[in-house]
Amino acid sequence: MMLSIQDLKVYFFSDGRVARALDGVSYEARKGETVCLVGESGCGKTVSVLTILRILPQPPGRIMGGKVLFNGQNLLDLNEEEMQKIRGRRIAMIFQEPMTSLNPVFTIEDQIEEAILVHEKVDIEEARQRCIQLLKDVGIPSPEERLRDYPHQLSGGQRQRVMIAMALACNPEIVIADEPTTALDVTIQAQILNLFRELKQKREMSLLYITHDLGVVANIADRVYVMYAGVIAEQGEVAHIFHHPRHPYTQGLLASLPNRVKRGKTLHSIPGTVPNPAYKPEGCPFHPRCPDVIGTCRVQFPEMCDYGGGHLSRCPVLYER
Amino acid sequence: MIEKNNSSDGPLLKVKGLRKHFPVRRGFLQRIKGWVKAVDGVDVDIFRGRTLGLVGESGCGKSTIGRLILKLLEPNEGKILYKGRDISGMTQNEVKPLRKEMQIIFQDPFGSLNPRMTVGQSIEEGLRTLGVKNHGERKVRVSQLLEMVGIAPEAADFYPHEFSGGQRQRIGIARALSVEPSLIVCDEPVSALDVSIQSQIINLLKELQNRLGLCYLFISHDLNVVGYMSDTVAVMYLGHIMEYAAADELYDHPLHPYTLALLSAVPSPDPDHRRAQPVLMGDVPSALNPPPGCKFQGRCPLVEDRCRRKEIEVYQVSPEHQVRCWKVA
Ligand SMILES: Nc1ncnc2c1ncn2[C@@H]1O[C@H](COP(=O)(O)OP(=O)(O)OP(=O)(O)O)[C@@H](O)[C@H]1O
Ligand SMILES: Nc1ncnc2c1ncn2[C@@H]1O[C@H](COP(=O)(O)OP(=O)(O)OP(=O)(O)O)[C@@H](O)[C@H]1O
Ligand code: SF4
Ligand code: SF4
Ligand SMILES: [Mg+2]
Ligand SMILES: [Mg+2]
Repeated sequence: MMLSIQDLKVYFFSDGRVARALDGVSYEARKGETVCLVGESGCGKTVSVLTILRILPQPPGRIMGGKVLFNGQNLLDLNEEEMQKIRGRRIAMIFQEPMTSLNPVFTIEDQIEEAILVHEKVDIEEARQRCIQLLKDVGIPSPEERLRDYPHQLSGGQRQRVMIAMALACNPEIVIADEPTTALDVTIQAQILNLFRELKQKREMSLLYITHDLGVVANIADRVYVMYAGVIAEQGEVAHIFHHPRHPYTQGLLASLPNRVKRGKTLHSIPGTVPNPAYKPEGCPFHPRCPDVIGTCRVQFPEMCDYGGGHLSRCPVLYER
Repeated sequence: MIEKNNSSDGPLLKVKGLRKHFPVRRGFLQRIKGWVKAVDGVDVDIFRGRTLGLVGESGCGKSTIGRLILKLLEPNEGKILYKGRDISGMTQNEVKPLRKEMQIIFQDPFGSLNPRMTVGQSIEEGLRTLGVKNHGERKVRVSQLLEMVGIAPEAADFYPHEFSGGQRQRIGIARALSVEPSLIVCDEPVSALDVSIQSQIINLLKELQNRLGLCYLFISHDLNVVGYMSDTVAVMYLGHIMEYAAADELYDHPLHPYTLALLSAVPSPDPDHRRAQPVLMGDVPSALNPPPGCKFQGRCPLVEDRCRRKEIEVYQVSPEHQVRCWKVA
């Protein structure tokens, strides 16, 4: 297993409240696989990634339990020095807003070359050639001319391409991308998604892709994890999740998607709102919004139910029906 | 409370030849270095009880059209006929009585609600401009409006930061409705919301439209949302309307190469329809000093010499369908 987080619990302690951001989350990404983590705002997607990379702000965050296994090794046991050999090198990271991760006062060349030189002993001319090749790989036109540009001189889509080039600079085994196209126009998003597909074929790397857009998930995922309020609600192969969703939350999300065929009919909608992680309901965290709720849902935390073929859903009520 | 508009024939709002160019100034003397042709000759009609959807990539001029219609900006050229009267030349004073008939809902309702006022006070402001002088009557109306958008009336005493994004959007809608408008410009009203909340707000907007006969200019970059909401759709690119058609017509028989590219870029929520999309290459260009001829020429797969030579006119291909491309018309 390339990357596997097991029963991860991360809480935030602030203002005398405890926010249970991750309440026992397990997911994994195998070699060469694209895994999507999907869920609404605040469900814990980013916190899980920050924990994997050991960049969770502590305090207020605290890891209360669980493991992060990377090729069998628990990253939570490593010290910062050991972690630096993995972060950005064997596990690369791409964030939503490239402007915050690119340094505005350095040129594109400086930044990518630095990413190469930090991890490898090559001379500056070789680093430069590698840099140009990377920019070509991510589809930046006339890369030689772009080397001297500063981040603000590039469009949003080009900045995201540069981020991807930086992430690829040291041949990572896995790339974690947290909402990399959310801020981009659809046409640019389509280009970036194509780019990810191409790169994955060429490089055999794993991709952990975080998004709240179900269309994007359907387009690139091999497997999907649906998160809700700090737990995995459902997981499985992309076709299972979209064609036979087994969790009322997944079913509700898919049914709420608007499109022009549904015009004139009331859209399905999930009532209520996502719970605040400091005040999560007892029992099944989805129960106040669930159309299938029964008495036990209000008191008992639901177990994962196995539908076979790697398809699991945390809803015993539908399972037993 | 609010009377349903009777759907008479003419458009409630007719926009003709609308233009807004912003000067770009540079350097010490702040000399004009060029023009951003944000809106560059736009004609659209909006009918009572109907929704006109406006789609296009970032910076194509959608919000500018909304602001021109509401007279938050003055156009360089063109007419805005509201109920047959041209409001484009009117002074702010002349337009004041019409202010309450046209409202706006933003993507981020936080920006439009005063953080130091309770939700009730914000909504009451609108009622005051309507001329509701009696304090008790205003209170009752605030409760009614909040209930109408699905918020408990007790919420009137809370401040905006105490609500979630979806709730704030509901409050923004309540405030817009407080002055009994006929037209609401909805500028990306659900873009910042999660899927489950997005569908709640979409349903609310539709229900209010049916109940009150409201007319929407619905601005969004999400073609699925626009397809659900709109009766007619205008596809915009760098200040031009490239295609303008009844919604079903546009989605079933798109003609303009840009519309085709946009539609094919929307990822389908069905893994069986995964395609290596015929992706539109290149970036969204800037509206600064665009080249002569078709504005889409830089990214168009069908481009020819003729496209670069002169302005492309609008072709009426059927009563419900216009396209600004000579090749596909
Ligand atoms: N620094 C922090 N201090 C306190 N609570 C935090 C902090 N960071 C995250 N949280 C809590 O953890 C929960 C999960 O946050 P996270 O950022 O992982 O959500 P997400 O799924 O990535 O959402 P989004 O789609 O909005 O990015 C949130 O509900 C938030 O309340
Ligand atoms: N006050 C202004 N001064 C100068 N330029 C402006 C001004 N307002 C808008 N623009 C420019 O006009 C163009 C159209 O902007 P507008 O906000 O209408 O786009 P939009 O389609 O709403 O984009 P988005 O989807 O990003 O909201 C852009 O290039 C923008 O930079
Ligand atoms: S366990 Fe109960 S509340 Fe939770 S999703 Fe299943 S039916 Fe709904
Ligand atoms: S006019 Fe020419 S450049 Fe413009 S859309 Fe048509 S074919 Fe393409
Ligand atoms: Mg996040
Ligand atoms: Mg806008």
